Amino acid sequence: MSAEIDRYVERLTAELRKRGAAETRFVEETRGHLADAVEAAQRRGLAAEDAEHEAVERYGDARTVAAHFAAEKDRTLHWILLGAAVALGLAIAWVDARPHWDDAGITAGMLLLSAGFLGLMGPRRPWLWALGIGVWIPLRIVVHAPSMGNVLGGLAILAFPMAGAFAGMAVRRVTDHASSISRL
Amino acid sequence: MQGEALKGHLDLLLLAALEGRPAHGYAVVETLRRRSAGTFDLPEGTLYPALHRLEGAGLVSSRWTEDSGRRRRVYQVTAQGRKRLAKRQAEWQSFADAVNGVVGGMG
Repeated sequence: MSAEIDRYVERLTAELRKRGAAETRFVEETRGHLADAVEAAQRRGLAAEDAEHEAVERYGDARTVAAHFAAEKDRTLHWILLGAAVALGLAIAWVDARPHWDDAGITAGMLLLSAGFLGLMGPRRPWLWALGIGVWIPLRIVVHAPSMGNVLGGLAILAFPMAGAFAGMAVRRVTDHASSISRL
Repeated sequence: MQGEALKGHLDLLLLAALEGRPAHGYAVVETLRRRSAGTFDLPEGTLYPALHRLEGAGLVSSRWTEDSGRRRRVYQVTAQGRKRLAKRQAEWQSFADAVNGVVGGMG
C-alpha cells in the first residue's frame, strides 16, 4: 500500500476516533476500495502516484467522510440506546420502589453499571444515557415528597449513572484508540 | 452531481446497482458512474455508511471474500431489499411521470 493511501487511512481513522465511530470494518473497506481505485486508474494509463492521488481525491475529504459515517451510525444507534436507557432506568426505579427493597448500594451499582454499558456502546452522548437511566428514581422521590432536600438528593443519585456513562465512554475511547493503533 | 441532490435517492440507487449481482463498494460506485454516464459522481467514501445502513435495515447482506490476496466486503440485495426496491421503483416512476407531465408541457 502506498504512502499516500496509508496517510489517508490514518487520517480517516483518527477522524473516526475523534467522533467515537472507529470501526475496523469500515477502515478495511476503505483500504480495499482505494486499492481497487488505484488499480482501475492505472489501467486507464495513470502513473502510480497520480492514480493514488485520484483515488484519495474521489474517496472524499477524510473529515467529511468520517463525519458522514459517524452521523449515519449514530442515527440508528441513538434510538436503540435511548430506548434501552429508559427501559433500564424504569426497571431499576421499579425495583427500588418495592416496599421491601432497602439496598441503596445495589441500586447505585445497577445505575452505575447499566449506564457504563450504554456509555461503552454509544460514547457520543453519555449524558443522555445517564439521564435516561437515572432520572426516574429522583423524579419519583421529588413527585412523592417535593422538597429542596429531595431535589438535592435526586441530583446526588444522578451522579451514579453519570459517572458510569462517562467511564464507559472513556473505556470505549481508549479501546478504539488502542485497536486503531495496532492496525496501523 | 452534488451529494446533497442524491441524498433522498441514494437507497434506491444503491439497491438498483446491487440488484443484478452481488458487488463490493468500488464496483457499486463504478456501476453508478457508468449507468448515469458520469452524472452520479459522489464522494466514494460516503457510499459505505449508506450500505451499512441498508444492511442494518435488512435490505442488503454482506460477507468478506478474498480474491488474489485482497479482502473485499461483498454486498447483495436480500428478499426484503428486492421488495423495497420494487416499491421505490414504482414510486419513482410515478413521480418522474408526474414531473415530466408538468415540465414536458412547459412553454
